[in-house]
Amino acid sequence: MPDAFIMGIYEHPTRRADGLTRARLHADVAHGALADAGLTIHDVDGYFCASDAPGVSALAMAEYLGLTNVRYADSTETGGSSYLFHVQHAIDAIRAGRCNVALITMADNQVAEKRSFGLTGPDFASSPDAPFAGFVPAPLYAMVAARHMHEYGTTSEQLAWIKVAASHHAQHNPNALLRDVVTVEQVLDSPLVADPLHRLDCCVMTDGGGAVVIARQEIARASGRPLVRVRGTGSALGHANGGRIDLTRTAGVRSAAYAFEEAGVARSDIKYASLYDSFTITVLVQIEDIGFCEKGGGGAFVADGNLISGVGKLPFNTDGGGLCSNHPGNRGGMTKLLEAARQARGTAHPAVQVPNCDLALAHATGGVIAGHHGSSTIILERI
Amino acid sequence: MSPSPDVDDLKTYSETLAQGRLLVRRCNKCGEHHHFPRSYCPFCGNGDTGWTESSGTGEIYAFTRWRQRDKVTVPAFVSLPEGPSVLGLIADCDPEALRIGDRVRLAETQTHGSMPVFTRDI
Repeated sequence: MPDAFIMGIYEHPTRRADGLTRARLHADVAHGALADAGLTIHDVDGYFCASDAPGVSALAMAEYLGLTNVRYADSTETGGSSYLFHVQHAIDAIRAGRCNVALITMADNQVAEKRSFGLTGPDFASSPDAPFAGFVPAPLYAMVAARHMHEYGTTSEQLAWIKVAASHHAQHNPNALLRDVVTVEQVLDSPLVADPLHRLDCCVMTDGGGAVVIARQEIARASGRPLVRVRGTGSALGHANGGRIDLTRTAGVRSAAYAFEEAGVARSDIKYASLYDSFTITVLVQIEDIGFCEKGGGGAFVADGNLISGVGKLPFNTDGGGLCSNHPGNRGGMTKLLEAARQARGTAHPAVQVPNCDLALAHATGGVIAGHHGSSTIILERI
Repeated sequence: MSPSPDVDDLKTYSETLAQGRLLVRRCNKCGEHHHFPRSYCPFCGNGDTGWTESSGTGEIYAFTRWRQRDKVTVPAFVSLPEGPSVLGLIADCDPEALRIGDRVRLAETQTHGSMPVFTRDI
């Protein structure tokens, strides 16, 4: 089976895109990633974006960018995890001979435009659950945390360690919105937003974006650039199941199982993990769902710096992640892919680069855990 | 059998809720209750579902004290004896005294849009 490689990556440095349109931001990241890959818009024959792209997403941006060779397009929308779904679909398309060079873009400017509190794009009012699920993410994720604490004895101190680890990493990222290292005490002393979640348990809200270029192996190998193979992918949808809810589990249980089965590696082989971090509890639930520890063991797993690069066993979000660096469009999946690719390339900041990072993972949950969501897991391998 | 329109489902549900009664959708084939209400059963796929009136009591599955400026509201998932958990609010009681597992009952004259409001059942 032909393999596909991540050839180009780019992250927009902005955290507040005053005066920049969404189309311009998508073009910034597209050209950035193509330049990183040593390719141009004329090489792109597969284009992927979600509904943060302006207009009729893939159609409008293909025109704006001047893509004239696109023969495979995909606008899969699963909220913040969309771009991991796109990676899976791009791999499948390349393997099937449908395209050779796939471009995935993500960008948003909602902070500068003071536009909204939620995801850019989807028509939430038309969702059939909308009249019965009328809360924003913070109280919903607070209930995930509350239930997890009730069932497994997880503590606020343990959740705080997730933010502490992210802040240790963010101090080395000059583009991060929050670069100050924080302590467990500072997290616990920050105001409660919705118990048990404090302000510092919540991600930042920023503008920005990023892009990924994935190419057929012959193109990637000929480029002489760092080779990062997509070794396994898995996706799954989850929801409230007619009201038979389990707030402590996500569809990530299944997406991770599919990805590890395809990759043929063990959980313990993973040297670095990018984990969706809308809230600290999101990280903890996903760590369990992926299988880095048993269900209920996440609190003990994340405590005492176990997620800090150079200190713990599972370095995570070494760019500072959504908790400290950025969360453009309230869609954190793209930046998760980018840092996982940097780690696999060996080009993360030297202070946080994981030695011999031959296997890196990116995992995201889009939508909300307490409602419908899309989980996706990507396993990257340095060749 | 042709499914009933979901829009009418919401109207019936909301009007009944405003009268202090909570309707739950039940499949006329497999007998399972579900929430939010749908014309097709999400457990067996059958297109013949109808209303049943829940007891209006339940147990707190999860809740939070959501702080916005000076106001504290209490969103909660309440597990009904019929099976599903419903999302709503808890009101008319001390939020600090609430615990997961507490018994709650429908507050008779309040709703939160199309969502039920419960109070602690002492």
